[in-house]
Amino acid sequence: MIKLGHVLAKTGEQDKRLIAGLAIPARAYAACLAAAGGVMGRASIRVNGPAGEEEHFNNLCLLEYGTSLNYITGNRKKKAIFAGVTTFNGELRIKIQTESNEGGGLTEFLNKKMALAVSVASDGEIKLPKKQSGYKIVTRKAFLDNLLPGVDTNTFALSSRLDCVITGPAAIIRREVTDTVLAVKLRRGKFAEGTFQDLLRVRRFLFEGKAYRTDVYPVSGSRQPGNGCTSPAVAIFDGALAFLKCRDMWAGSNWIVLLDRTDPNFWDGAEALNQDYIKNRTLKNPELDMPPVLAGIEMILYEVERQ
Amino acid sequence: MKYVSFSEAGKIYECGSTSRIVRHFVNYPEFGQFCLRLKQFERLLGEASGDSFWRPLLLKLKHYRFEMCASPLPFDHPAVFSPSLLALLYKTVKQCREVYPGYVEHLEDLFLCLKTLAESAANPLLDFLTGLFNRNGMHKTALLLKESRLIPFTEKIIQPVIYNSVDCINIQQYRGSKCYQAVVVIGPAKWYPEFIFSAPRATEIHLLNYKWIMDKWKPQPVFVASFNNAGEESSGQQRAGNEAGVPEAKKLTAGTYIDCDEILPAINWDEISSGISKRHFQDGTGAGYETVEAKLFLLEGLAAVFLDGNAKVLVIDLDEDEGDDDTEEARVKRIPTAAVQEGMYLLLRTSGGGEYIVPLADQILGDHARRARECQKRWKMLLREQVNSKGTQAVANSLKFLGSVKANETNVRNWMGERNIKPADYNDFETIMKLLKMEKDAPEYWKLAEAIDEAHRKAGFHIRKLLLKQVLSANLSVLEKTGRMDFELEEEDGGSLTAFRVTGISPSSYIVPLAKVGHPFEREDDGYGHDDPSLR
Repeated sequence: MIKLGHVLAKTGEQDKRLIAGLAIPARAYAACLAAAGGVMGRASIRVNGPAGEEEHFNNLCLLEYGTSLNYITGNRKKKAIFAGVTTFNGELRIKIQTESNEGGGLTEFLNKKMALAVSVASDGEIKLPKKQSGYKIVTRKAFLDNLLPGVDTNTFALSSRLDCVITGPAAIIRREVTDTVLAVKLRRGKFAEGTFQDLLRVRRFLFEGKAYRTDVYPVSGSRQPGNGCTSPAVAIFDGALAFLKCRDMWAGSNWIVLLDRTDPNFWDGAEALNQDYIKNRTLKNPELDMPPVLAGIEMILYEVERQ
Repeated sequence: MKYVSFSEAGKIYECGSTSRIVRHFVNYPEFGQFCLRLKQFERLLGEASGDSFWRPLLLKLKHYRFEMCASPLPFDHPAVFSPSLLALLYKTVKQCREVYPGYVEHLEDLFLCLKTLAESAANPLLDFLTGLFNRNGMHKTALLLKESRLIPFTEKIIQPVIYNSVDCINIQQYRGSKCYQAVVVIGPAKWYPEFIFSAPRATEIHLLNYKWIMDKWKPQPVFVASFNNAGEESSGQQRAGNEAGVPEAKKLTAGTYIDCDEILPAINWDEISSGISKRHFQDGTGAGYETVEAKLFLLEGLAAVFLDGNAKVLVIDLDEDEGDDDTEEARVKRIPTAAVQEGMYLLLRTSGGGEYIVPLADQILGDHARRARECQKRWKMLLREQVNSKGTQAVANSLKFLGSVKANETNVRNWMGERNIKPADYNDFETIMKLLKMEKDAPEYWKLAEAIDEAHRKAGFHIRKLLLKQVLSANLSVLEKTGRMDFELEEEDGGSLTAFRVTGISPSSYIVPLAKVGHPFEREDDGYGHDDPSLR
């Protein structure tokens, strides 16, 4: 399931999209695992095109005094304000203040490279604390670092992009995503714990304003995708009803349709998928690097023209 | 849909990839004789088998045959056999000598077969099960029955004989997350939904079936073009038999077997519907009363109910876990009848009489209740009279002429109906009153209608609160197992509600008397005629 999500998140031509349908013995965790694969597959792709070091630094230099900033140092995120520009050791640097004047007014001088850790905050005006150690960006860093080798997990946890959406039983998915304790094996037989939420960063289950990579939509809900989230890389339909009711919402994405064989609507979902295959598939069979399908699972995989 | 832990999910997938099916064929010639004789006799009767002389007897005999194939109960068990069946058969033999002498010999044969069974108290399925459990040392096993009704009786019967822990479960329970070492399925595979075998909850599935029952089931691919070349190969299950699905099938010659579909009781929706309507109009309560378009819902325990297709119903949905409302309370809700699915539990009033909202609403209305109801009855009756004499379209046109905005055929039908309290807008109500020449009374009648409306809302809310209290403290696994559960409301005259599992929904709607809507009744096609006083 992880591999399927991974492959579908990374594949897809501009004018074609992929559809995978699976008949499975139980829906539990299938969507979470597929979404995990999808997010992992896209984690190494930067959210915004990387602004050059020079360009970023110059933009910061133009800020007004007192502009609210976010400053990442190690695995911590601090509040800061822009305090101007100075020359230090013959090098142009920006000044950022991280503690209030009452607390001593700690100010750091950052060169072009160091300034990449600074971004403009969306919070508006902020009040600096007397002392500030910042808050942890990734609470289970070892877990995430092992799942996303070669990815800056701090940046991952601070930047939003809708890589996957799951449409399905939201309350159950919430429990699966947030309550299930997973672990990855580290060296020397140790384990690092985490949850699906550390990786998926489901917007619905996060506080407002936190960076997300996935979102969950209930089948019965009236919520429609916002302007910024029209075509995630992968749309996962957790159950026949989710597929039957909500497939039009994600017509621009690759689809993973999970059909639980014990679901009363299973055959309706399978029939809809078969009809879609008959009517819309292209003649070309998708060639994907997929592992063999597990016994007990049946899968259909095809390609359709992107509308 | 319930939350499943990660390890439980893992076990389900393990079962799915390793499970195998083992078929067992049980022989008991005396029962085989009865089953085949019954089939032959029905064939002999041909179209006459639908005549009122034969039909009740045949239904009862066939139901007995089905239940004996579907449960490991002895042939004389009171849950499936009543001496009255033998008596009825005997009586029919006697009548037959006069009316249909050509059939006497066959019917006498059938009588002797049934008599032999009833006197034998044998239980071949249980005998085989006992041997199977002892031979294989099976533990953590489930016994899957098609009929939930027979589970309590089966549990009692197997307990003293099979010492290992055995769960007697129904199809609904099989959908859960519990996995077993083995599941024994009683009856042919074709009687069960595909997922019993394609989403197995055990590493071994034992299919226990009588030898003379032809079971043509074989796994069907789900997708038209499976990536992994479809169901059977992908599931990894070893299935006894090949193309025909039943190895024994080749040995069965015509006349020595019965197709499993033939044994399964067929649902005759039209007959159930016409039965209840006929009874209603015969007892004189139907004349002149309102009818509605309703769907027929089959309920666990050989009951059925008509529900207004445009109304809402109270249900317990054990699968509920939608949206943000992740609480137990979300399980009790009012939903449109159209949204009711098989497997949900309908909450219906079974004692205390009548619709459960109305008496409580009247209590809330207090002294005004009588006057409010009388007024409501009056204007609706007068409107109905107008419709009866002029027609719905003409009345709708008249109302439009008088200034009604929403008057049309459908709305007029709704407004005059007893289920509807009042039009949504005062303007429409006023025009109705104008048409009925009761213009002066309009403000008072409207006020009373609003009071009824509010009382109904309050009553609905209160009933739901009482019910929630009951439901939250009840052991709902019993409901899941038996498909039925009674809830006594805590208040004086609260009466009781029964939760029934929906086992079938009619494909089309029927016009039925309003008085019969929402009241569960015993099915007319119940071949065995189980008497359930709670449904009277």
